[in-house]
Order: sequence, then structure tokens, then C-alpha cells
Amino acid sequence: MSLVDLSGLIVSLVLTLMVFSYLLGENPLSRPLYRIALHVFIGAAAGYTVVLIGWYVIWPRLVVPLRDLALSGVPSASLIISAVPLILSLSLLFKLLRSSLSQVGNMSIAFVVGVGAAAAVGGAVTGTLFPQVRAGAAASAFPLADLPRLADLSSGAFERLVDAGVFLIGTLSALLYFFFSAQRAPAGPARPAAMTVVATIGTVFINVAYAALYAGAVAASLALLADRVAFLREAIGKLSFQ
Amino acid sequence: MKRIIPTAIAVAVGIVTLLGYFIDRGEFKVPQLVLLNWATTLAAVALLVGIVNLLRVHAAKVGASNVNSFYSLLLLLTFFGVVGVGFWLGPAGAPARWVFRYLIAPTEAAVGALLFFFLVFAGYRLLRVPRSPWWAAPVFVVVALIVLIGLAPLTIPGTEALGGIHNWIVQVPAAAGARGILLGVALGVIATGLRVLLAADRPYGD
Repeated sequence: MSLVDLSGLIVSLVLTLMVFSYLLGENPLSRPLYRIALHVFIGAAAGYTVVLIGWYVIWPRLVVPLRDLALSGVPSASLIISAVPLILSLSLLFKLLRSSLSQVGNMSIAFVVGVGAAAAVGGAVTGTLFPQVRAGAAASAFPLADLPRLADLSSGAFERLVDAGVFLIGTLSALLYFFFSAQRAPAGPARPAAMTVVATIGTVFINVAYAALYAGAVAASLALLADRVAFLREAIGKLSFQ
Repeated sequence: MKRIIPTAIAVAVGIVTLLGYFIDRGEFKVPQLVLLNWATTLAAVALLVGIVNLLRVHAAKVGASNVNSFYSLLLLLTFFGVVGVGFWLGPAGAPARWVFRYLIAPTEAAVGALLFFFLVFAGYRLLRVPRSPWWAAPVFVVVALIVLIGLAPLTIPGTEALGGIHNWIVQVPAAAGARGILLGVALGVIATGLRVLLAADRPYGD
């Protein structure tokens, strides 16, 4: 093992143990260790992000086009178009000032918010709404040709009908759960009675969906824990042979 | 005037971007791509501004010289160290790769591993704290346990029958609930986005 890998192994081992010291609870030893590991991690992650932004965004997208245009002497319209993101980026830096000048940065924020809102609407319509409705309709569909085979339990047609029905009811009731409009009532605003029943059914399906997601998150974090424990065993084994 | 200009910019660039999604013609697609490209660059610069603010906060803590100064000093030293080695040979250079492989990735994985304990504790607390409706927490825990057993790489003796139930739960009621949530989120995003594009919401002014 090279010295570079050995030093890396020691740093990884120490940082992993420092993070796991959180499990010892609030005590004078574990609390500083955990906080040191976390501050080192945040500093390194922020520094790495700055390097990536500088290397892959600011240099190739802001500096290089302007430098090339200025050197080649192309028409000034192209230069202006290339300069727009630079001007907006520079105006964004005014947000760091604690004076009225920081309002100059509002134009850049407005630009990002406007494009971001449009991208979110476009993405939600074309990437979520239409595909999910299409997939939901496909999952809730039951071929009419299977109707005569419903009585034959071995054909699986009855199971498919039940699944399609549960899927349709689950999707619609979960969606209608988010219908929060209420009518005026003596005891305070209340949903219409029919909507209350649908929303209750929707709660069951949302609950089941969240439980499945929770189980997935527990399984993923357990896999990470197993990986870290295996790493600790391997690292300690390697270091003891050095 | 100071509110009109940002509003006009947001509405104008938003409408031009949105048209590019629904009208498949070059006159609309090209401006949309240019605006998305600029917005991506600006988002990266905004992240940079956020990091500068983080450094400013921690520099102030170092100056205050209290019990937290040491942690902030450590953060600043690590930050400038990583920036130094990162710009020296680039993100693909050996020093930056060392930082990512031996410092960032293991710490991130260790923090992610801690999540297991938080999640299990949260599940335990869910059963202890009374909530309305009464059946929600027991249903949640039972479904989560069945799905977890189904996800296990080895079959636990006596739980073979749960495999079929696990598959049905994941493929039918959980998928239906998740689809309902996704559709609700998409409708919410559309409503919120349209409010911004119609200038009913203006989340960019001081």
C-alpha cells in the first residue's frame, strides 16, 4: 500500500469513527469528535463544490466564450449575448452586500426564479402529469376480453380485476385527499361528507405508500451502515498488517 | 420601479421558457435553451454566493473567539485547503480525487449510516405518541415491517408467505398511493409556478 493510500485509509477510518461517536450520546468526548468530523466534511464539500463550479461552469461558460470572442473580433451582438450571463452573475454578487445595493442582485434572482418556475411547470406537465396519468390508466385498465374468465379463479382474471380496482381507487383517493377546500359549517369549516370518506380512504393509501418508502430508506441506510462496518473491519485489518 | 423591473424580467423569461416546452418550433426552442443555459450558470454562481456567505458566517465566529471558534476555524482551513489542491491540478487531479475518495465520500457514507438509527427511533416513537387517526401508526409499522422483510436478501424462516404480500403491497396499494402523491405534487408545482409567472407571487424582492 502506497503512502497516499495509507494516509487516506487512516483519514477515512478516523472520520468514520468520529461520526459514529454520535451514537455514544451527549458526552464531553463524543460531542466534539462528531462536530469536528462534521465541520471538516462541510469545509471539504464546500471547497470541492467551489472547485467544480470554477472548473466546469465559470471558466468554460463565462470566461472562455468572452475571451474567444474578444480575441477573434466577431460582431458585437454575439459579444453582448455572451456577456449577459456574466453581467447577471456579477449583479448576483451584489447580494453579498449588506446595503441597498444588494437590490441590484434582485434582477438575477428574478431571472433564475422566472426560468425555474417555467421549467418546473413544463417539467411537471410533460415529465410527471402526463406520464403518471398514462401509467395510472394502464395499471387500472382491465381488458374486456378477460370478463368471461372471471369465474375461473385459476385464470388470474379476478386477481387482475381486483388489482386494477384497488389501483384506481388508491390513485384517485390519494389525489383527492389533497383537495383542501371546505364548506362553511356551524362547527367550523368542513369538507363535504363524500369528500371526507374519499379522503379517509386516500389516507390509507398515502400511509401505505409512505410506509413502503420508509422501509426503503431504512434498507438503504442499513446497507450504508453494513458498508461502513465492513470498511472499519477491513481498514483495521490492513493497518494491523502494516 | 425597483419591483417592476425584476417582475418584468421574471415574467418575460418565464413565458419564453414555457413556450419552448409546448411549441416544438425552432423560434421557441432556441431562446428556451439559451435561457435555460444562462439560468444554469446563474444557479451555479448563486451556489457560490451561498458558500461565500457560509465562509463569512464562520469567519465571524472565528473572530468572536468562543467555544465554537475552533470548529469554524477547522471548517475554513479545510475549505481553503481543498480549494487550493482542487485548483492546483483540477478536480480530476490526484489531490482532489484523494479528498473526494478519502474525506468526502466516507464521511457522507458514515452520516448516511447514522440515518438508520434515526429512522428506527422515529418508527418506535410513532407507535408511542398517540395520533389521529388511531389506526395510522399501526398500519404504517406493519406495512413497513412486511416491506422490510420482503427486501431482506435472505429468506427469514417462517416468513416465506410474506414475499407475495410484500410484492402485492409494493406493486398495488403503495404504487397507487405514491402515484396519487406524485400527481398532487405535480398539480401543486404547476399552480405555484403559474402564480410566479403571472406575478401573483414575487419571491425575488427584498
